[in-house]
Amino acid sequence: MLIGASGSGKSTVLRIMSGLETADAGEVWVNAVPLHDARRARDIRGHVGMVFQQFNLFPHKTALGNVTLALIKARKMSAADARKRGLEALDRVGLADRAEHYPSQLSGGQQQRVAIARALAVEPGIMFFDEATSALDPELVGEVTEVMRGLARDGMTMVVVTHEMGFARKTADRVVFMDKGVIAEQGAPEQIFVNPQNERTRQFLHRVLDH
Amino acid sequence: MSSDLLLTSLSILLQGLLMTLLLSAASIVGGTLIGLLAAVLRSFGPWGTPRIARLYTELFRGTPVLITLMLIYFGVSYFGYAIDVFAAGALGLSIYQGAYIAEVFRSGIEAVPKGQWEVSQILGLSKTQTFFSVALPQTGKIVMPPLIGQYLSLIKDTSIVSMIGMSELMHGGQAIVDRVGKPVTGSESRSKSMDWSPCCISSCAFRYRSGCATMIEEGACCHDQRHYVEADHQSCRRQQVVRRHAGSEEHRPRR
Repeated sequence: MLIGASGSGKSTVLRIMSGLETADAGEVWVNAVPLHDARRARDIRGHVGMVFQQFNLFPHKTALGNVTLALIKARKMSAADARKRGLEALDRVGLADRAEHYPSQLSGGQQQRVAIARALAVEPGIMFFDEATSALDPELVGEVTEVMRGLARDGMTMVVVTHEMGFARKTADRVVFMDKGVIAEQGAPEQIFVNPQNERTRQFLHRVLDH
Repeated sequence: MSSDLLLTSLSILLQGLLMTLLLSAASIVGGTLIGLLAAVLRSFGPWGTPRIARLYTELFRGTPVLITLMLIYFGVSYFGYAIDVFAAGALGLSIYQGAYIAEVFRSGIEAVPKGQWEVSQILGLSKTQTFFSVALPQTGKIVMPPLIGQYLSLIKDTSIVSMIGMSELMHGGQAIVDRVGKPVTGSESRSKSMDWSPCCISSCAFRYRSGCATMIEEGACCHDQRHYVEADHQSCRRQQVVRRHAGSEEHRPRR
C-alpha cells in the first residue's frame, strides 16, 4: 500500500502502472508488459483493474451494464456469457440484487463496489485502487474496505493508495511511504507504523494519526 | 375573394410549405452529420484535422448565411457547373448550420468527464468504442436542448433560400401578396384588378424607369387599372408601379 502526503506522487505511480501516463525515465514492468516501450504498452489495456476515487461509473448504464460493457465490446463475449460473469462479479461485492439499478440510484459505497466489480470482471492480473474510499461518507468506507480485504484474502495482487491508516496497517503486506516523488521508506506495516526510521515518515504519521 | 384565387393561393402556400419542410429535413440531417464530424475531428482528429475543423466552424459562423448560399449557388455556376437550387439551398444551410451544430456537439463531448475515458481505456475499450458506447450516449443528453434550438433556427433560416430563387413558404406567400397587392384577403375589386394588372404592371414599370414621359401610355395604363383605382379612391396619376425584382412587383403610391 502506498501512503504519503498529497502531491507526493502516489497517484502518479498508479497512473503510470495502469498505462494512463508514461514515465519520463526508467523501466516499468507490469504483468510482464514493458510499459516504457510505447509499441507494447497498449498490451496492458484490459488486463489490469483500476478503481478511482470518483468511481467513474457509466451513468447511462445499469450496474450490470457497467460491468458487462467491456466484456461485450472489448472481449467480444456473448451477451449471455457476459451477463453470467457480470452477475458473478456483482455477487462478489455483495450487489447481485442491485444489478438493474443505475448508478444514481445507488449509495456512494454501492457505486464504488460496482466499480470494483467492473474492474474484477475482466479478470485482471493486478488491481489498482486510487484513494477508493476518499470520496465516501465515513460510515460507508467500511463496506468498500471490507470488499478489498476479501480480494486480498483471495490472493489478488493489489496496489492501493489510501489515506485510511488503520486499513493499511491491518491489510497491507507491504507499506510504502512516498515523499516528494520518491519512496522515502518501505517495509512491513508494523515496522512502518510502529517504528518508522525516516524523519518524514514520523512527521507524516504523527500528523495523520494524532489529530 | 374569388374561390379561384383562394385555391391558387392555397396551392402556392402548400407547395411552399412542402419545400420548406423538405429543405429543413435535408438540412437538419446534413447539418447534424457535418456538425458531428467536425466536432469529432476537432476533439480527436489526427494530424491537422482539428485545425481544419476549427477553421470551418470559425469561417461559417462568421459568414452570413445569405453569403454562404450565394457563394454555393452562383459560385458553382461560375465554374460552369449547374446546381439545382434545392441542392444548393440544402448544401448551404447544412454547411452553415453544421458549423453551429459542431460547437454544440463539441461542448457535449467535452462535458463528458475525463475519468470516463480513462476507465474505458483501462478496461480495454478502444477510443472508437469508448466514443460510441460511453461518450456519445452521455453527450446526447447534454446537447439535446441546444441542438433543438439550433434546428428551430435552421427551419427559420430556410426562408432565406428564396433569395437564390427557391420557392419555399415565405416566397410563396410573398408571391401572393405581390399579385393581390396587399397581404390580407382582398376586396372584390382588388382581386379583379389583379386579373389584368400583370401586363399593365410590367408596362407601367417600364414607363417608370424611362421617366413617366408618355402621357398616352399613362392614359392607357389608367384605363386598364380603373377598377383598382376606383376601389382605392385614388387618382390615376398617383398610381405608380415599381418593379422590385424579377417575377414579383408591388404597387406603390407616388408623392
